[in-house]
Amino acid sequence: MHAHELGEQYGDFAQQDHTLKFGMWVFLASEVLLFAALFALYAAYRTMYVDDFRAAIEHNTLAYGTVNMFVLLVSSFTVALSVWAVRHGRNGTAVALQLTTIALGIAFLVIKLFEYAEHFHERALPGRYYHMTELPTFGANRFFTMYWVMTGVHALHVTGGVCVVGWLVYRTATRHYTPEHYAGLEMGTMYWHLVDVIWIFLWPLLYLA
Amino acid sequence: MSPADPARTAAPTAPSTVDPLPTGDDEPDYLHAESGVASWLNTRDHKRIALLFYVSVLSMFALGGVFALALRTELLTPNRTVMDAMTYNRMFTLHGVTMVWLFLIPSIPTVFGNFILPIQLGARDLAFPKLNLISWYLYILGAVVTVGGMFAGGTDTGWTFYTPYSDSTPTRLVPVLVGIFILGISSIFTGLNFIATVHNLRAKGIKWSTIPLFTWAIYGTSIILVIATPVLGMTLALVGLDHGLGLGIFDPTVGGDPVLFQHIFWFYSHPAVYIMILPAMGVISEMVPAMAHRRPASYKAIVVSTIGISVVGFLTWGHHMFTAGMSELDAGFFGVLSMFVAVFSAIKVFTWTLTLRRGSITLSTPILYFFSFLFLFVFGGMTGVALATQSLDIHWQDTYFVVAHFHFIMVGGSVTAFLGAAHFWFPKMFGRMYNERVGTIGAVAVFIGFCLTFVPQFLLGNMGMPRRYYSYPAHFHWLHVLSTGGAYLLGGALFLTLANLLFALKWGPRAGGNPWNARSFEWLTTSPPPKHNFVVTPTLDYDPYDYSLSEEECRARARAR
Amino acid sequence: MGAHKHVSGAAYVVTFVALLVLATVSLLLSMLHWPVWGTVVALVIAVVKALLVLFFFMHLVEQRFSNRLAVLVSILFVTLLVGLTSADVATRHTFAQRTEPSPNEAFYGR
Repeated sequence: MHAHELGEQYGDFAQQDHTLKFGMWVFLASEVLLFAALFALYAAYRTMYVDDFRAAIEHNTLAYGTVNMFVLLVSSFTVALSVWAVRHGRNGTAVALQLTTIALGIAFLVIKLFEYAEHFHERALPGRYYHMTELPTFGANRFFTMYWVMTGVHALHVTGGVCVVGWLVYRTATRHYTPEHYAGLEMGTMYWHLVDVIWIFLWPLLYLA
Repeated sequence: MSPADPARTAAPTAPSTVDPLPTGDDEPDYLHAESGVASWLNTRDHKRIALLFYVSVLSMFALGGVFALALRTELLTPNRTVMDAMTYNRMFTLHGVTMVWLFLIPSIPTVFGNFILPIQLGARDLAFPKLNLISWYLYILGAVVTVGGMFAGGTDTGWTFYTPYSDSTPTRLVPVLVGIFILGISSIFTGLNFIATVHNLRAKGIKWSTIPLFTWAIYGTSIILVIATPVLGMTLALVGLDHGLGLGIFDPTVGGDPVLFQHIFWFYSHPAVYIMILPAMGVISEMVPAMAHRRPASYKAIVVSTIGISVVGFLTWGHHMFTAGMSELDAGFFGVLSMFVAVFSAIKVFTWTLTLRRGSITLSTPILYFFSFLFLFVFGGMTGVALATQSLDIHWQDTYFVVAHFHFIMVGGSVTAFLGAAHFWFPKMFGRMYNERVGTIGAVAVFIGFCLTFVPQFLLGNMGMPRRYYSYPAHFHWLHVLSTGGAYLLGGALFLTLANLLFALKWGPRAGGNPWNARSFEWLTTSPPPKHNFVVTPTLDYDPYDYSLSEEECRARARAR
Repeated sequence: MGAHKHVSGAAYVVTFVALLVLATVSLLLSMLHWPVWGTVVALVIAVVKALLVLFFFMHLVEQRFSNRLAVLVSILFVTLLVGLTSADVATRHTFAQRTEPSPNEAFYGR
């Protein structure tokens, strides 16, 4: 059993837990705004090149993107269930669920790598490196530039998320989280869910025509 | 105040007989509670972290000042004076980057926000003390990377990094961008900490409607820090990708639009100026009632205008882009909203001024800084409204008129308030008093030096002198000479002010808990405060501006929880 | 923990199934290649999916208003940035080169 430290600035554990979760929500708000600049650029370029964007989306690798959508949805489910498990004292189950999430996260990245390889093959690269012959338009160039930047930044966050869930595995396995004290687990899983929510918006914008 | 005071222990709602307010015998003050370098570098105490930031931001202010003097020296003559054009371009970039991100943005929040906000809320520390320390370390890392990057070849794009030049500049841009990115993370953590503290760590008895005005100002600032700074981070990252990898996100030759950079850049950078002025306004909102010994003319007006600025400040960024090729629809919207946001500042100015009426005013250095602020901020603010008028901006855009405007707000406003805070809270933070006469001389000299530096720049801009230009025609010469003279005077005055405060640290007379006879909660603790601010968490049930109560009565209303 | 009504195990499963269904619907609808409205519908479905994740997986349904406020505020500001930036691009008037002389030139008799 681990003694849970109550910070000197807090009156009781309830206050500490509320504050930690609130703080995490504020942090997630900042992460959402990080992606906002990219969504703004995407929206502006799409407004400038409406038809070329549609053509580029139709040309994009729908299968990879869709599989990844389902991968992340399942991974969100498993990591959310791991909180349920800890709430019911079943840390072993929680660890198994978290490991599943990690595996799915890695699967996402592997699929992404294969997908990038295909784009590379077609020369559908960002900005000045774009040389795709089927869609030689400015609009397609802009689409694939934003595609690479947005999915790249997202993939970085998936990688970070995998590390975070890895840390959660350690803390859950060592029984640091108990049914009474699991704020850190909640915070870590929130980060993973954010990664899922971002993809929930990236998927239709980048893959669904 | 002895813990056994019968008047308080008789109160039925206060079960404890412990006086939450320190007497000085309880525990050593925060400066002496622990000693040794490690106790400072590994501290969780918000007051010590405030001092760590104090030393850091003042050093960066001095550095930015050196760059300012360098570029003003160059501008003493119409052609080359002491440096070539490329160096000059680097110099104004260095000046801007240092002053904005290494000094102004952190200044009041990380120093006075950190020190005063928890005490004003009756809290024993911020919500996340370890994160607070991390904020400081990130600031130091960001400072090292940014300044290092600027010295190792630096950048000549100006602090605004506009595309397409930032794509292709031969200077080493990426280290500076990385440094600012790191500083941004520090900012976000600071803002997050303050928001969490205000929401969750208020002592019992403090409602949203009795939160002191400085804390409200820091809260409003923190919203901007958390929402706007990430957008800057991404924008600079994109510039870095374009510059470093030649991606062409904003390159028109591959379909990009450089004006889009300006949109996402100014989405942060306009609210950033409110990060710089809101805390200053918060300082003024504390100093004026304390110096006039009257409650603010309208507490609600200040609070509403604070949140108003926080929110509406996000709706005005396009006024930096009137001549960039933005659509008329957007320009119209941004123009109107820019006028509207000024209303909130006006509300504050009237409220502060009305607060003085029938007050019992203590003429001292802090109130001199208020008068200075009042004149310079209003003047600067009005020129801002003038600039928001598109038809006028066409002529003034990218001239010295704009430069003068923003220096009136940032130096005449923010720096003046920072200096005011430095004097106002000096006895609280260090338990000593500075020399009042030197403080007065300093305040007057700063004002004169400032006016001499920047009033000529309004004239220069109106006459057509463009900003960031290395050389200029002879008929602008005399105004530049005046401005440079003023800059040196301002530098000297600031140096004198700093020397006065440093001297007082060691040799100033000891100050009591409440030398200004103010009423807000920080003045109820000892000077300097003990490590944990209060003996136990207090219940504070009087409002912090109630000058109808004597100081004793206020202390009586601070019961233990 | 102080939370009043924890999300039940069943609620997690229902939410998950709903997410899968919505994603499938979105995919199928996209195959209709419906211009303009197709994108709108896809984004509306995305919003619903996000809300499900936020409220059930992230437990926002159990938590206080100030946590929801943080989410709401961030969404509003994203909308602001995306909206005004796109509005600029959408409402710019860029004119083609004129071939005949402008009225001013006629006035000045060039």
